[in-house]
Formats: sequence, C-alpha cells, structure tokens
Amino acid sequence: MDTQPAPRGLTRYVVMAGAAGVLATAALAWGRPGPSWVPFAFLAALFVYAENVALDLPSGGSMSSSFMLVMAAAVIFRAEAAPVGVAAIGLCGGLYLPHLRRGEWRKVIGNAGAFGLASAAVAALSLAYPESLLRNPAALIAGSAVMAVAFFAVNTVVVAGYYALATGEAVRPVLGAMLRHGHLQVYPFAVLGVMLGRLYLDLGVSVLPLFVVPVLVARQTFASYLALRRAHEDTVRVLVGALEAKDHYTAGHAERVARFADYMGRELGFGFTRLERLRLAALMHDVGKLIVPNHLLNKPGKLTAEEYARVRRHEPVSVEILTAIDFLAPVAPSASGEFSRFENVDEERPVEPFIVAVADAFDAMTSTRSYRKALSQTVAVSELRDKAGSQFHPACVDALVAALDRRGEVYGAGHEEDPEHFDQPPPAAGLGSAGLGDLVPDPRDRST
Amino acid sequence: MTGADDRLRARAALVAVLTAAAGVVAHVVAPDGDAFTLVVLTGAVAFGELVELRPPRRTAIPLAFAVLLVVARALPVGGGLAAFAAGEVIAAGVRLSPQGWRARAGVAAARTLVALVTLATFHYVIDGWGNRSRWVVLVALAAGSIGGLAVHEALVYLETRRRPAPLVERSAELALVTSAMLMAIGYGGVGGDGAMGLGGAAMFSMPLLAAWYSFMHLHSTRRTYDQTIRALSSVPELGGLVREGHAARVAELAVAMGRELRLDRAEVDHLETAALLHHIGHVCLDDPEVLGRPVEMSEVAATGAAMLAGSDHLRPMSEIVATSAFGPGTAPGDVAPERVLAGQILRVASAYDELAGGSADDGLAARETLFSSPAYSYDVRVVTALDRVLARREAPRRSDRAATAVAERELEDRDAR
Repeated sequence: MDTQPAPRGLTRYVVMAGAAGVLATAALAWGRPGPSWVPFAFLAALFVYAENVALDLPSGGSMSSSFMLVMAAAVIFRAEAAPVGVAAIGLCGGLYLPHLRRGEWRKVIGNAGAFGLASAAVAALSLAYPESLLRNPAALIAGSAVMAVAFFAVNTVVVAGYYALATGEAVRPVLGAMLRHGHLQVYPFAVLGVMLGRLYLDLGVSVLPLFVVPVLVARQTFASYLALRRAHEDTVRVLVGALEAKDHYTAGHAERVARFADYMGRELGFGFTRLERLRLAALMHDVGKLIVPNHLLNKPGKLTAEEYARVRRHEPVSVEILTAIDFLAPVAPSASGEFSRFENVDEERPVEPFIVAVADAFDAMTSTRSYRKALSQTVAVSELRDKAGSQFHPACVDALVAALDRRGEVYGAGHEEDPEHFDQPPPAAGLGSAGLGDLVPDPRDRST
Repeated sequence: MTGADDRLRARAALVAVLTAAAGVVAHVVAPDGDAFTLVVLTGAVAFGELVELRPPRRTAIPLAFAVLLVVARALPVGGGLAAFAAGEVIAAGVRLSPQGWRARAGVAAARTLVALVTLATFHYVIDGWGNRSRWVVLVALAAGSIGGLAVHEALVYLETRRRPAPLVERSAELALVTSAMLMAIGYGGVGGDGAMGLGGAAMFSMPLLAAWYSFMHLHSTRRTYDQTIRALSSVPELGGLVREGHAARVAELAVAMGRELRLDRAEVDHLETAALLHHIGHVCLDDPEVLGRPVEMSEVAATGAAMLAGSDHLRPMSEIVATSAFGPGTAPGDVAPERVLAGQILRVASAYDELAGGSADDGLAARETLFSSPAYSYDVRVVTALDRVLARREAPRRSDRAATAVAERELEDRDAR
C-alpha cells in the first residue's frame, strides 16, 4: 500500500495526469470508430509484458520496448481511422505488476497518465499523416521520428513533474537531465514499431511472430549481458575487498580512485566504453598488492631492501594481470607508477594511465597516511598543479579540478568519507596504499 | 571489445559503403536490369560474412546466412549461388585471419556449401508445391534456412568435434531463422502482398541487427569476465603461494570430472570458476613464518569462500570452495547435493594436482594415493570419475591396441573394486 505520506501536491498532480490521459483518450474516441479487437488485444498484451520486463541500464534509467508497440498501434489504427486504440494502449502503461502488488496507486495512475498522454500525442499526429503514405517505407520512417519526439517530450514532461514533486527537487534541472539522457533509445524502437505495424497491415497477425521472436531474443540476450556485466563488477569488487582486507588502512582507496578517474574521463569527453575501461583499470590498479604478504604491507618499521624489492613487485604483477584481460590491456600501464609519469608521455600512449596517476595521487594526499594526516584539498590541488607537466599530465589535473568544482565536492582534512576509518591508528611504517609518497619513497627512508 | 573487433567492424562498414556506391553505379548504368539487385546482394553477403552473431562459448554464425534467404527469393539457384560465392570471395579478401589464404578459402567453401543447400531446399519446396501461397512460401523459407544451418552445424562439428549445444540454447539460431524469413518476406512479400524489394529486406533486418548488437555485447563481456577470472586465479601463483598452472589444471580436470558425473551445465560453469579461484583465500592469510605454523588448506578454503560470498553472483562458487575443505558427508551447512558433489570434485582434482605436481609421470602414483586414502577423505565416486577421465586422456597416447586394452581392463578392475 502507498502508506508513506505523499509530498504536498503529488496526489493532486497524479490524479490530474491520469485524468488528462483518460480525457485525451476519450477525445480521440469521439465520433470515430473503435479499433479492431485482435490487434488491440495483441498489442496491449505485448505492451504490458514489455513494461514489466524493462531492463535497468548501467548508465541509469531503464529500457523498455513498449514504445515500439505504441508506434505499431499508430500505423495499424491510423489505417482503421481509430486513433483511440493508440491512446488506450498507452493507458496500459500503469499496469506494472510490482507497483500493483505493493499498492503504489500514485505510480500506477501517474504512469497510466504519462503513457496515455504521450500515446494520445502520437495518435493525434498519426491522424495528420496521409493514409496513402502508410505503405511508403521512407515516409513511414520519417514520420516515426516526429512521433518519437512527440512521445518522448510529453512522457518526459509528465514524469519530470512527478519526480520533482516526489523528491522536492526543482523541475527544470530534473527535466533537463531527463531530456538529455534517454532520447536516443526511442528512435530505433520508433522505426521497429512502424515496421511492425506495416507488417500487420500487409500480412496479418500470422507473420508477426517472425518479428516479435528476434526482438525478444535480442531483449533476453541484452538482459544476460547486463547480468554478466554486474557479475563482472561484483567479481572485481570482491578482489578489491580482499586487497583492502589485507590493508585496512587503505579502505575505500580503489573505489575513490575509480570515482576520480571517472570524473576526469567524463570531463575529457570519454564515451561509455572508454569510461568503463578507465573505471575498471582504476579499480584494479593496485590488484598486484594481493601478492604482497600482509606483514610487509603493515610492517611496523622500515622495510629492508629485500622487503622493499618484494613489495615493489606488485606493480609489474598488476600490469601483468590487466594485460591478460583484452578489454583492459590498452590501459594496463595505469598500474605502473613509472609509466604514468608525464615525463614519459608520447603521442602513441593512451591518456588513461595519466588519469589514474592523478586520481591515485589525489586520493593518497587527501587520505590519512602512515606518515601523515590527510592534507587539505587546497594543498593537494596545489601539489598536483606544481607537478603538472613533470609528474602529472596537465590536462588530467585540470580535468580533476574542474570536475570537483562542478560537483562542489571537497576531500581531505576534515572531509574524510569514513571518519571511523581514519580514527584507526596508522601503522608506524609500511607501504600503505599506492600514491604520491608511497610508490616512490624517498631512498633516504629505506634501510639497507 | 578488442582492437581486432574494431578493425573488423571498420572493414564491414567499408564493404557496406562500397556496396552502396557500386549499387548506385549499377542503377545508373543499367536502370532496368538486375545488376542493381546482384550488386547489392553480393555486397550484403560480404558484409554479413564479416558481421556475426556470437553466442557465448559457441561458434559464431554469420549474418550472411540471413541474407541467403533474400538471395533465394531474388534469384534462381545458379544465380544465387554465384552472387553468394562472389560475396564470400570479397569477404575472404578483407577478413582478418591469422591463418592465411588456405583457411579463408576453406571458410568460403564451407559457406558456399551452406548456400547451395539453402537455395536448393527453398526452390525445391516452392517448385514441388507448385504454388506460392502464404504457407508454402513460409514453409520453403523455414526449410531453406534451417537446412542451411544444419549443414553449417555439421561442418562445425566435423572441424571441432565439440558436442552440439542443446536446442534450448539455440536462441541465436532462432533469431537468425525468424529474421531471415522476415527479411525475405520484406523483399518479396507473401501470397502476393507486402513485397517491398531490397528496401523492405533492409528495413526488416533491424530485429536481426538488434539481436546482433545484444550478442556482441554479451560475447565481449563474457570474454572479459572469463579473462578476469583467469587473471585473478593466477594471483596466488604469481605470489609464489601455489605451483604455477595449478588453478588452470585443476579447473580443466574438475570440468571433465563434472561432466563425467553428469553435473548440469550451469553447475559445471560454477565448478570451473570455483576451481580457478579456490586458492584465492591464500593471499589474505599471513605467511607461515608469521603464523609460526604451516597454513592449513581448510583455512585457505574458508577464507576464499568468505571472500567469494561477498558477491551474490559468486555465492555458488563460494559454497563449492567451502565444501571442498571437508571430506564426503561432513560438509556443514545447508548446501544443495549437487553443489556438495561439485565441492568434492574440486577437492579431489586439487589433491590430485598437488600429489602429481603437475606432471603426468607422477599421475599414476597420485591416483593410487587417492584410491588408497580412507573413504572419509575423498568421495569414491569422484575418485573413480577422476580415474576414468585420466584413463581416457591417456588411452590415445599409447602406441598399440594392447596397451589400450590393458588400460580398459585396469579401468574395469577399478570399477569392480
């Protein structure tokens, strides 16, 4: 049941959206014939199914092929001059089983209203579409783009209003974010939808399985891909967890380095795949430390030369592990402190190792260390800027500073994520996490 | 995705662009002839040969097989075969293949045989029925496509000798057959309705391209996942905690034993991953000189299992690793019987590899040791399965039939015991 007290105005908004959807559907039905039952039942059933098996995307949001069925309905019911069929199918968007089971009626009515209004917009546009063009593939595809824009715009405006009221955020940024993300996925579904409609008009319902089966296979396979992707992330995190279990003092280091690297990648305009590669490489940049015995990682005293050499082996091992994974091989030098120095840059080298080096150093400086407390963000940024052009890639330093400014995030002294962790007494010596002052210790500090 | 994948896709895109350009030229030079259709279909075959559906851990299926049904509808057997073969020659020229020209020619020949069967089957059914009603066309298209795929499957089996995947795992074939039929219908319609020519075939290739996109991501993620597991399994070896290659050898042996004991496919997959990671707990334990005693294998298993239990996905592997620390019938907790069996398989495979030291020469002594161990140490069923797997591996190596017969007798004696 929807037992939580609703934010002010949310219930009224939801009821208005639902009523608007029903009124728009009724307006489309006024003085026009109703749709044929066979295609209506077929498309409505598929629509409800598609809504209930929507996939959560790694980039946020979800993907459902239900819009494809609205577009198919637009073609089929345009031929029957029965646009009410399109809007009525859209109203089925409220039939999301988890919402119904939990009695979340505001979401049920809100979704029905949003989908109903968006589908009504498509239906209204389809009426303006000359029937003679329904059998012209090029005209159909062009028309589908216009209808896709209309559907996406109406649906997004209604959903953004709901979200803003429910969370208390301002409407404009919510709407802006929703309009920026997610619009690309509607176009392929729009084209697929008008093709499905066209197929039905030409050949009837008997050949529709030939269309639906490969789409379902694609959907199932994509779901398997997303599940395996999560499994891969889980596996990497288990190993990172093992690394941090060996050295409690570096808890959260890998995750933070991955986060800073992600910030820089976004700032530098990386695409999805490149960002994913960068994030994983950053997460695993210290994985070679798994071979370093616990007592050396946390040794309460200076390392001997032999111990130091043994500890340093973690870098080539990290590189070896990343190189063994084709996806990460191009950025395997991210795990090498020497390779990641800006002095060693050349045109051929990818920028990812330099990004990881900056993220690693920034986190090392803004975390409490065995030999000092966390530095303030101002000091850390100043240190990065001082060494930009020699140790660090200047573009990466700029990207990190811009990303932190943009997000208003502050790290370092007084801003530690986990104060309890920093309350632990640091080991008297030892290597601690990788980073500035850790990987390349002053030779004078080493006992021989 | 790898650089090779990117290069192959770039070449496929180049073929698509060149095909479009050649099609325009053909249309301008001979607007009323079939040259345009021939050029576009030949280019589509070449493009489809470079773009493949890749079901995980199975041989890839080229999208050219889907184009074949359009070729079948557009051209007679001879003309269709010529267009397909020409497309294959173009693909062979631009394909990235480390094996050289002989291998490329072999692939082209195999594909052309598939094309011959598809085209002949389609036309045989159409001509045999003597009409082109909706159902006849649909049956002919399905028969042609399935016949071609059957030949492809047979050729793959002859080359790899790998057991064919069960029907329930044939979603890629299902998508290919239905999409191919859809494209052919888009081209020529059925029962006199819906013919849209090459534009229709291209439009109705979208569901297939959606399937290809999904399979491509699944394939590349599966490869990354497998490589990550293997890379991480090598960590204890790189740290000098385990003999080199131990995890990989144990995994290979455990998989063979799991199949021998008829574990289902998913459980065998879990067993393989568990075997690869069964020593991972070692990296979190202190050195013997710090502990003042040797590291117990039960500690390694318990620590590894606790690490793996941190992920929902790795929980089955965690249970297998945990139960591998205990002898048969002594595993604590509420674990499914087949998972306990997988744990016992891992226990025996790991013990065998440690006893044999990774050397085939010491294998016999290791087997004897396992057989003579008390029943509470190792599951007899599992040790027998190990013996069978190893005997099967060794049999082909023996130089004469007598030696094989001796091996089989030994096996029977063991079974009797």
